[in-house]
Amino acid sequence: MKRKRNLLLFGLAATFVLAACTAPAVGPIEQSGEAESDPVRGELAPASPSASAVESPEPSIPTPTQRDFRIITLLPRDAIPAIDDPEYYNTQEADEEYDPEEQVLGIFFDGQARAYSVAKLSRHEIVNDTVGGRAIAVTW
Amino acid sequence: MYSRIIDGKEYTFGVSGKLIMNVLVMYDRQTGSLWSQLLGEAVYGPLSGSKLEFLPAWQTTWADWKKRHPDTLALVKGYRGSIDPYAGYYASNDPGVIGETISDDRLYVKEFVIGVEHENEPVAYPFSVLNDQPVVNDVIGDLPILVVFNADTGDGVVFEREVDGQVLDFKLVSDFTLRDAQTSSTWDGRTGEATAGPLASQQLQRVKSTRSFWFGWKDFYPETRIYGVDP
Repeated sequence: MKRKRNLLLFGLAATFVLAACTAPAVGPIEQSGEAESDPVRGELAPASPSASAVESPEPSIPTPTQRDFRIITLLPRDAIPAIDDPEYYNTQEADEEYDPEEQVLGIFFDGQARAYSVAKLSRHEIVNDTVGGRAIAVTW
Repeated sequence: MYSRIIDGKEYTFGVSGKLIMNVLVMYDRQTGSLWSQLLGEAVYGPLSGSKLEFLPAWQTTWADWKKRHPDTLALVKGYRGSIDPYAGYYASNDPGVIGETISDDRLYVKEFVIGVEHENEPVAYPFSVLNDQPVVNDVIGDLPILVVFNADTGDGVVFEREVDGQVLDFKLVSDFTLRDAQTSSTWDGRTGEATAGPLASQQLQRVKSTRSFWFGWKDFYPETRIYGVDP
């Protein structure tokens, strides 16, 4: 399996979606003014009580045992439209639009195979579908 | 990818416009609960705490997928070409929109990893390690697992490597064909199915894995082990 350097630079993070990048009105680092801070602390490890006699006055900088589940609002709901009634091509039709090297997410249930262009998924992030009798959410 | 059935009921999901540590937060239209895509779990709302059932998928090229599944259908795109709106972002050093939560430079911030978490034990398998070692036999907690990596497409799949109570050790034979040391059966490394030998037609169980940037994985799993990097 030979290595393609390009892929490592222009490849894709399957579960990473950055909502801001595709909305023209919102820059990539802009956060909505109504950012909610709903801290839901991950209970990953019990906090060990400090034995230090000196109280640190600093606000919490996340330690390795804390995870920050703050929910940051970047865009209004559905600003990025999920796909609810996906339409499909057969392979001949798809070849008109899909490049051979194009990244796809592939699924296979009960003899039914579907491919989802990752570039297309980036614009919608979620496809609600039913394949082989299974109700699925293809997420990117 | 996830099942949309939770406790026997079907749900549909939309994009909430929110992020948790740079990862998509979905909402379900039936209750408005918020779901972390990475965790596959509802973190807010009436269904908070509910988990989504992980379903296996593969990430590969269109040509490869067509070869493996000549009858496949493909999502309508509506345009030619594969310009990904995030292409510039992937190539940049930016750790997401919000930036990192914690700093951990065991790996370069935008390096890709295959992440696996089992019973609160997270492990990251960096692409840089998998490029040289595309078949990994590892153990996470009490679970013996197998990672099979395709350097051409960046597709990584993870399986349990215990079959009928027997733990198997796999070696790469050629392309995506593996052989186990215990029975010398041959296996398709992408589907996890034994194709010949005493275990022919046995199927390895797929384990949930996530392909992500290092910065994202370690923000969710700060205590993660890194295969091939940590001593």
